[in-house]
Amino acid sequence: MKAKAIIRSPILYIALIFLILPYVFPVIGGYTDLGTEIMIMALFALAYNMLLGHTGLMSFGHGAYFGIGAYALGLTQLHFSSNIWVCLLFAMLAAGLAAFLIGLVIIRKSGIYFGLLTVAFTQMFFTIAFRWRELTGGEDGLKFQPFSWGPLDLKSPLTLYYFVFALFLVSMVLFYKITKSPVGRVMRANKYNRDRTMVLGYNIYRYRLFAYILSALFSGLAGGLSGVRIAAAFAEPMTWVSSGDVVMMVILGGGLANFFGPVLGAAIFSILQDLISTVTIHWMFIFGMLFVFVILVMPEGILGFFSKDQGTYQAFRQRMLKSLGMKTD
Amino acid sequence: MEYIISQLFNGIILGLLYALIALGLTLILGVMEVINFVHAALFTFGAYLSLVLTGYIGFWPSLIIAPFIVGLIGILYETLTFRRVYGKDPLFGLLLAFGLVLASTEVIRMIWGPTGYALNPPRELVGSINLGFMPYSKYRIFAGLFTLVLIFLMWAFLEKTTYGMVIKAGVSDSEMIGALGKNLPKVRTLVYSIGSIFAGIAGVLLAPLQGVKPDMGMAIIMPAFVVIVVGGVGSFLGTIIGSLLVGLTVTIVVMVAPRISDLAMYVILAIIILKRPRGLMGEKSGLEA
Repeated sequence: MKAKAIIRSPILYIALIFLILPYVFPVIGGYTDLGTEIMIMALFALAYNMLLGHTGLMSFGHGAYFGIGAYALGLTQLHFSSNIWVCLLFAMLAAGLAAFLIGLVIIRKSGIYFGLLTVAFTQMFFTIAFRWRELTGGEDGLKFQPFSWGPLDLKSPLTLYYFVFALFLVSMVLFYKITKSPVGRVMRANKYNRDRTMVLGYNIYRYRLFAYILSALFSGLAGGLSGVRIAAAFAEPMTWVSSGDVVMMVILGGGLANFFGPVLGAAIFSILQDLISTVTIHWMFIFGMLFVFVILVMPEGILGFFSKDQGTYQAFRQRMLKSLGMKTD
Repeated sequence: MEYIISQLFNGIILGLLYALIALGLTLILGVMEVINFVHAALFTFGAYLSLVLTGYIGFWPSLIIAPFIVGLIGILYETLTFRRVYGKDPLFGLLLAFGLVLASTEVIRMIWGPTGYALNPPRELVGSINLGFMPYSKYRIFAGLFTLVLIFLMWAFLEKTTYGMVIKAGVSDSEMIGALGKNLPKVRTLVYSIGSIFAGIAGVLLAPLQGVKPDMGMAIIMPAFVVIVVGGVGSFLGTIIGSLLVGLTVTIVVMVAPRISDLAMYVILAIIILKRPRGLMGEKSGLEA
């Protein structure tokens, strides 16, 4: 990338914000650990959006891959190696493998039918995790030891924060590169016109499977990092109810219109969850209504709402300018 | 032996109750292109309403009135929310349903608390009846027969009336029936209210069997999803066969290996999807576009 392009890129600003966040966040009432969670969720949401926003496949079961990542991390540590890189690699591979197997079955489906199948299969993984008590700890979850990497003790919130920060940044750049690559363009072509892309000679299902596995690999990484954060894995994120969270993050931030939407959405979602759950035990109600509100009022999400060419805000602004007899742009 | 036969009966009756829920789901999915998660909440509303109403007016009137109220709630949901997202990306309908079910379930928890209630069957149906070769629960027999009658009525409605034909056409291609001059929004409201009423009835019928608790709908909607995929989306007969298959599988596996009973249906799902990608009796429809 040219220097100018780097300065203009939102990646730089997101990186800068998260770089100084641990020192700014406490001032406004946050805490380092929440920042870590935001980045993990942002990574999850970005990975999910490779499928939803960039390939046009609506999965409603990505919680499964997040959960598998966390379990694989813990099981690797307990039974194989406590090296964090090995554990994280296995977290990714386990999620990727699961996605490969499921993908073989469902990748030829589209639209709402694809979504329905992902709902069913995420619940299958949840049931396995929940019932296989000997392996996963069942309802109590899987507990394991905190991680360290050489001299770095990842139990310390600040160290963990920058560890996650590095992985988050690398993944985000990778995703960005992929969306700009020829592969990314074929993925987007699938979203807009599957038949035409196929007629052009692309084996669309191979690209879809690639997108599905890619997003699962990094969902697994996010799940693994969440495992590092709490030194435990639970089945709860794998239910279809929890799988909705990541969809919400992407939509809320404007992931359908903007590459960086999921990061914003994940930040808002995590902070809201943190705030609301301390105020009321009925936060599910507020979340449900938030879904309804976003879908009915601003389905293109926050960044989409303010986007230059198609946002609702822009349409509103143009209308106002016109009605005032001013020049529209 | 008697135990096995009575478990098989339980499986069939459970399957029929799944069918009540799944039929509404599959029609809504076909005509509205919405995966109606809200069904979970409507089902739970039905159970709680019967819990409340039975205290005042008894079981039989509440078997009529509770589903009727649930139908009204369904119409409310449909006209206030879903109607605004028709024709847009199906993702929005899905998310809308998802948000509504979260909020509705939480409302139930606010009103009736997080713990469950037990509900007795009506006095006439307590106890068991001798079938000649074994005794069997009167209430279960009633629930099974009642459900069979409803399923038959639904079938007659879909096959023998003009409205039913329009709905069936809508399941295969909803845009097209709008283009042919049918009032598509009205058809959708009708389908949604029928689905809601069926979900409500299933809630009332299952309440004495499984007890009433806030997340009962969340638990039952998964088998219903599996049923509609296994049977083939939009297929009436497929849904019934799928329901019986799933109901029987669950109860049979409970006898052999109770811990994996809720996993068995996903195994069935995977096998059937591999062998028949559109489910047992599914046909190509607008949903796959």
